[in-house]
Amino acid sequence: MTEQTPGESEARARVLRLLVEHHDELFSFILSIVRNLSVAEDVMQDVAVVVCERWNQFTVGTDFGKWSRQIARYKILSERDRTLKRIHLLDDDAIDRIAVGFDDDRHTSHDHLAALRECLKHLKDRARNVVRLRYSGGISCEAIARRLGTALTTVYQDLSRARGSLANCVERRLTSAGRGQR
Amino acid sequence: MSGSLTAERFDELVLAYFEETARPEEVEELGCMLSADDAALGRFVRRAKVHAGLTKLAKGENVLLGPLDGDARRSTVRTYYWGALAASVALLLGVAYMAYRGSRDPSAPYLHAVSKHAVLTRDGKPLESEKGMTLRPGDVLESTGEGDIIIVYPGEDTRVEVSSDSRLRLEDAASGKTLYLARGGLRAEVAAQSRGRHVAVTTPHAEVRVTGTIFRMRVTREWTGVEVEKGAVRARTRKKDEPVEITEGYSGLTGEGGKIDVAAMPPRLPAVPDEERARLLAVETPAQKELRAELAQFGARGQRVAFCNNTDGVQRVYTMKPDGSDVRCVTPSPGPGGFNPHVSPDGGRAVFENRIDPKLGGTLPADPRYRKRWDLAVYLADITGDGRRPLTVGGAPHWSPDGRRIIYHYPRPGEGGWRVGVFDTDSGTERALDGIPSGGRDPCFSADGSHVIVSAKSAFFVAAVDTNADGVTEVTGVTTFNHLKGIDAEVSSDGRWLVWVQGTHKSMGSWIYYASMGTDGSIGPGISLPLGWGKEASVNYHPDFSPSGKYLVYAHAKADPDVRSWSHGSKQELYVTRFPSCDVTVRITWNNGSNRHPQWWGQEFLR
Repeated sequence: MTEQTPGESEARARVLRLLVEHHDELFSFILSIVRNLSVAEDVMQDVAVVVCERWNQFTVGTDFGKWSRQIARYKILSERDRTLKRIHLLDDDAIDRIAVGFDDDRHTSHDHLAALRECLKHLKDRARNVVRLRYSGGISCEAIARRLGTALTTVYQDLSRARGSLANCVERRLTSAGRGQR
Repeated sequence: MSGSLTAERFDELVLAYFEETARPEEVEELGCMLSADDAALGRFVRRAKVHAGLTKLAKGENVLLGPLDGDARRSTVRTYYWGALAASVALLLGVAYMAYRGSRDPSAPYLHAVSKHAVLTRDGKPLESEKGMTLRPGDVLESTGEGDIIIVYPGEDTRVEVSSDSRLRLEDAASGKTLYLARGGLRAEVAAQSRGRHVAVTTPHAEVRVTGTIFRMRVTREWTGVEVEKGAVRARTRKKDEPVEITEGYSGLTGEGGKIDVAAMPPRLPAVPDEERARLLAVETPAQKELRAELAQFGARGQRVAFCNNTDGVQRVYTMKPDGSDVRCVTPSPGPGGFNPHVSPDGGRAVFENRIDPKLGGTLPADPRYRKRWDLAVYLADITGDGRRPLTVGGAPHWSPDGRRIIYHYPRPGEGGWRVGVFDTDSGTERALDGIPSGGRDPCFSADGSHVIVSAKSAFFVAAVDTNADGVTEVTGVTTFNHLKGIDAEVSSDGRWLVWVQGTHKSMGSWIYYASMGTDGSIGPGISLPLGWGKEASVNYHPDFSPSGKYLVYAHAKADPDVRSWSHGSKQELYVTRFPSCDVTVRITWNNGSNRHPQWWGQEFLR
């Protein structure tokens, strides 16, 4: 292996900083495809390895998020028949479309999380409670239904509405923040 | 997206998709919608980001925590109502069950906990054991892992926790509760016994009687040892000689001549005041508490961390569960201790460094060339501390993945610098690993044993090794990585990652770096782990991977302005963090000494 020049070392460090900056966004993309948290963490590790190995293939000035999502996409598709065999993944076209959907979203994950924190404060108590049990408690919808003494479909509806409401709220906040900056 | 009906269906599919309850045809339907409709795609991406964001917030912050809302309270009232009814029924059933049990023997011990790995033999036949099962005299229990078996005597607070790889028989005794420990160990918390009664544990070498105390026992083929945590026990050998009393803080060991030698136990860990520990734990985030719970699970499945500590002024080797509990000394007093431990892959033996000392047993050939500047040897012992003996002059010992070789470094007599040697545990022979460039030290094997990684002053060397027809390990090629430098390199068990310690600017202390590894021994660029870099100076040392490679244990000390990068002088505590994100870190040692050289071993059962 040849020794790196100072310029190469700096370029590599820049790519690795971008990896750290885009970690949450990349993880969101992976989680949206594989859905399972543990599996997503494994894929994220694999993608980080590839980014570390191929840092010199990234063209400075281009979209790092897009580049790293392509790596994640290839990784997921290459593992489809091996480690991801037990997960029923979306087809290739749909995964490509989701990658495009993430490409088109120009908001950073930091802004997104900040907006989400604010939106959670405005969530109605009932929805907030279901979200709390589902995410903080790590409880399945069936267990939440048993715990609250309600029907499973009601929990599904509450959770779906809560996510929808949060998504709309986050969108509104990010859009208005974008306007305010102009 | 057109139409509210379609939107409703789309939301249903997205929900089922993220809850992992969607059927294959529903996933395909969702895929079609995403491919055909831009609005659906935007809606999906927004939901996906919310899902990931909530997952992250729940993992790292407590913003989702809060009191139950009104609806939930009403629901909870309903739950309580049904719960109370269920509890009443359970109480009646319990009373009936106790009456049934009482008809047999209300004081009979029962299995408070039993894992699927434990074996219960009754009347010579293996029996399917389950939690709550009543035990009888003559029953034999065998454990594999730690926490496999817990026996409780009803009506009092007496409980017996059986250690890993142990064999215990319940004896028929009119005067009290008697157990026969044939091998392994136990920890017993014995409640105060009524007048004239006692709890007795017998072994092939000794008998211990107690009337109310907390103690541990361990039995090997050669000896029986007992450590008293609280109260006192009376112990005597099987020769029925005069019993000796062993009090709190002391241990007894059956020795030569059929006597029991009583000595002060090594200082107990932890020693940090409970209030201080409680104060530090109280401010931990939910994510840290979650990580602690995960570490406790690893401990329950037999994983342990070896480390060295100098609480009593001597470096001794200890092991503990990954959450910091159940600390045991591998190199107890009297005599010197040991440091830089490495436990064999099967967890049965440990190698460590120590100054050459006759008190530790065994001898090494006197070589004045070594003694002038180097008096450290690699020692081998059972994990119980038994059978300590020196193997060779050297240090930084590491086991091979197959547990048949030990690699170490040693000084080059008369030449300066270092060499790397290999000790073959099958043949008991040692030899130099020729071919590794001068200066390479701190050797470790790759995960598959095909390479040896050594660190030098300004490079890493990776040597491909092979075992020839005579069973001799030889170097077949060496690659130099000039872009890396550091010490204390360790490879993850899957062989994909390398971690090491590297000094930065002197005011910033020393930091843990990692890089990807290829199966051919190649190493990627080094990356500093985000352990507070840029916030404050600190010293981080001795990283080691968990068996799954998803966690890292390391030693950490807050650096003062005078601490140089490679200083070992400051007090160090052990921490565990997730790898490589380091998003959550917890402290696992709580004592007044300095803790170093952690090594995490055990099987990965959870994934």
